[in-house]
Amino acid sequence: MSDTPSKVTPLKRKSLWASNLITLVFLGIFLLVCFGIELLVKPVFSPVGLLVTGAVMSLVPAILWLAFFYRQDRLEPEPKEMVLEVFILGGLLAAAIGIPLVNNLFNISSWLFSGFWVNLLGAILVIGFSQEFLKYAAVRFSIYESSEFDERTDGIIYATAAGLGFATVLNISFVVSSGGVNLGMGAVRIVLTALAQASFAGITGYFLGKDKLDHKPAWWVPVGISLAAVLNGVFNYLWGVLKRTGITTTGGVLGAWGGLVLAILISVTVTVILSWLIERDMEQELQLLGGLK
Amino acid sequence: MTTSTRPMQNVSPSTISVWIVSAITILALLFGMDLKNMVENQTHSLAYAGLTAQIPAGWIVQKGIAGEQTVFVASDPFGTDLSYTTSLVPSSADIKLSDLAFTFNLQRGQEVTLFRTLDQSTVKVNGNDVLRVHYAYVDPKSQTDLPVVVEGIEYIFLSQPKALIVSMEDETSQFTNDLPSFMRFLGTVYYPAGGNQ
Repeated sequence: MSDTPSKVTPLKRKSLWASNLITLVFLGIFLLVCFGIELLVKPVFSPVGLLVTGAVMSLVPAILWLAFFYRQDRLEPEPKEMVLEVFILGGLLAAAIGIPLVNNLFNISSWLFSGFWVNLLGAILVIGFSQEFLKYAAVRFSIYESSEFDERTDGIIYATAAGLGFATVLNISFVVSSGGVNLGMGAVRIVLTALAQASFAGITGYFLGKDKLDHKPAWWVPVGISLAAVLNGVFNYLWGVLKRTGITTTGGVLGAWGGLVLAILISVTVTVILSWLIERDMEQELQLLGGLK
Repeated sequence: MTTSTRPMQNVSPSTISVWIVSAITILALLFGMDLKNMVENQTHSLAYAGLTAQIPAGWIVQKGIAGEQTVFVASDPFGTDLSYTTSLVPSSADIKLSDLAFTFNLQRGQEVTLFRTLDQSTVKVNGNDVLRVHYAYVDPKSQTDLPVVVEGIEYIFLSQPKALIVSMEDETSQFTNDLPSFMRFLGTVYYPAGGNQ
């Protein structure tokens, strides 16, 4: 850290915007490639091919979003292997607990779509709280106690990594269980699910970061998780409406674009707020460092 | 007094917050389970052709199909292949349960693709000897590229002048999950001419 904060920040901020733009361009290319393959090739998958396609389709957006969030932490980037470990932990928790809990124990497909309030409440109580708790657990019971978790921003970085690991497994499960998706619309769903899971986890991560570094009261993190769970539930409610009336598991688009737009709006808004929070916390850290000098 | 409060003073707010988060999550899931049970237990009565049953709320019901042998088919609007079917077929004193099952299996074998009987056994339902047939076939209406296997379970109640058949069909991946709801439905089916059930 030989540069003074005032010299380093504007330059890096400019390059950050450029790299964020590149991430979005790559995601756009990924979507175009998927739509292109679907239109030109119309692939039919063998069981192994389906699994490989599901894994590739789920990993590409997850890696791109992971890079997007990772680059926000430009003050003292976290060790990549630790971020990767939390990513894998998030995925393992999704596979071992998250998916079986929601699909088997609660069997949500058989009752969740019975009406507006049931759908919304069920999405928040069952999907929202279970998923956000598992992503919280992936951070709280692993990296949180480590000395590497030494900035407020770290909470967001590790939690989004857990969220993206979680989303990757959800997306692989979606592709495999639906027996092959329409690649184009499947890719839209995968990109959006990854962003949503990352951004909602990021909320919990923000509260965790503040909790560790600022020694917040005991109610602080529960409020953060509850907020993330409610947003996750609302997102899933909109997504559920969309699935039933529009984009089916086979990917056919029949309408209900309002749900998709609202779901995108929630995820993007949360992501923008998280980026702003990271930016603000880093400014504070830099001011603190400048003050110390 | 001082010694008894000391352990609590050592617990950090961070640890307490872990307990609170865990408690909130458990409470949310318990409320979620209550909501699930409430929705699943919501039913409405259906009476048709002398037969009554409690159908899950919101399900689509088709009455009187295939020359009135099928009394009704109730299907879940959001479950792709989930449906309950009740039928009344002519019966007499010299007809055995296995004869009826053989006829149905033969009929299905001609109508659907790759029909298989997975299990066939006599069980007791409300004190009656009932034949339970567990079967599977490939869904001919499947919209996906890969074939979808449908699993079915059928309970045949022998009575005169008509035998009652109550069955559930579902996509194989959901079959086990949806079976308990079907068993609750089976308990509500009442056909006076056919005895207790």
